[in-house]
Amino acid sequence: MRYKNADETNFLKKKVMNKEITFPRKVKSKSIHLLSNRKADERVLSIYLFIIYIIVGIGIVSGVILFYGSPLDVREREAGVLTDAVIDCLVDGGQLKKNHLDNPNSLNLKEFCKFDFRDNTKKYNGEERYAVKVELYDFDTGELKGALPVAGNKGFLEFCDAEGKDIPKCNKKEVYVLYGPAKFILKINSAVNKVQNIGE
Amino acid sequence: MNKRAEILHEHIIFLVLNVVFFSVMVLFIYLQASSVHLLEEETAKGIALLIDVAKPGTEEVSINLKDFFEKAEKNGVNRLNSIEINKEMNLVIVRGSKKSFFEYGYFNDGIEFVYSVKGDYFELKRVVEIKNKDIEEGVVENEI
Repeated sequence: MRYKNADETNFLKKKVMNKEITFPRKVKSKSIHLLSNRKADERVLSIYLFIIYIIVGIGIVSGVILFYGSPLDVREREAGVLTDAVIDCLVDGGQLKKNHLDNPNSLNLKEFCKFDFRDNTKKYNGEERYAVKVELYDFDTGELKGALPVAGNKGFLEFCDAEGKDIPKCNKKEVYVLYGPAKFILKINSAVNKVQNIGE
Repeated sequence: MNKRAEILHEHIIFLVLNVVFFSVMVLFIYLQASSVHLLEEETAKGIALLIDVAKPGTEEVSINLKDFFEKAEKNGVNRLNSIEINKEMNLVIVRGSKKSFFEYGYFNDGIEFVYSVKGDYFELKRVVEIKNKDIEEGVVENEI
């Protein structure tokens, strides 16, 4: 659109890309102001752009580091394997091995089942990082009939009902066993606490 | 420089910056995800659990460690040297590069076994009770 007399209508001209755009003075307002200050606006926009880049970058980097940096936690699985190993060791074909009830206090679970609860990694340097508690209850009355001395680090078992990242992980199992004609429930509670970060 | 060229120039810079930013992000995520430390940890813990569940009488049990072996070989560690089991200390030591390693302990002290690397597989063989120690301690079969 062209105006016959440019002086009379007092047009403002602005070239945007390859188009010549003309604006009458009447509409000189915000839009004209913005266009006339386009350089400054671009600078402001680029600052915002970099701030957004930085925020997005920090978000992605921290998220990825948190996800891949956390240790692969197999403690629960390990506690389950330990519980199964204890059951396999103490029970044979559904029958409790006799020597456990004859004199339970004399039984050293670690020696009897050939477990080595020491963690010989550099981080723990031979500390015991496992614990196992074995109890025997009467099947009919639920009365505690006997318990083996706790093997390993007793303190870990205290945390079994708690929740948290760096506390021991536990596994509890109950199995029905026979000791001659008598019926019992064997309760096993295992705990593992080996917290190890990548690269350690 | 005329106005049109200037605007085009600005757009190109803007596009290049965007491409660079997202490329860096994708590269960072890829490097983190394929980190050798992750594979070392995964392998060491997997082998330790395999030893813990192994029962006397087991003839052979194996796990596929293709990704780990490929990564270790890229980093200059051959397959045989990448996995070591210290039976005295009950430790699985996994090396994914010349500079790094990951160690993890196992509790099963009542078995004796032979381990080997065959192709992409780690094999645990001839598991016997330790009282029937008819296999020489510390034997590693060097198979590829």
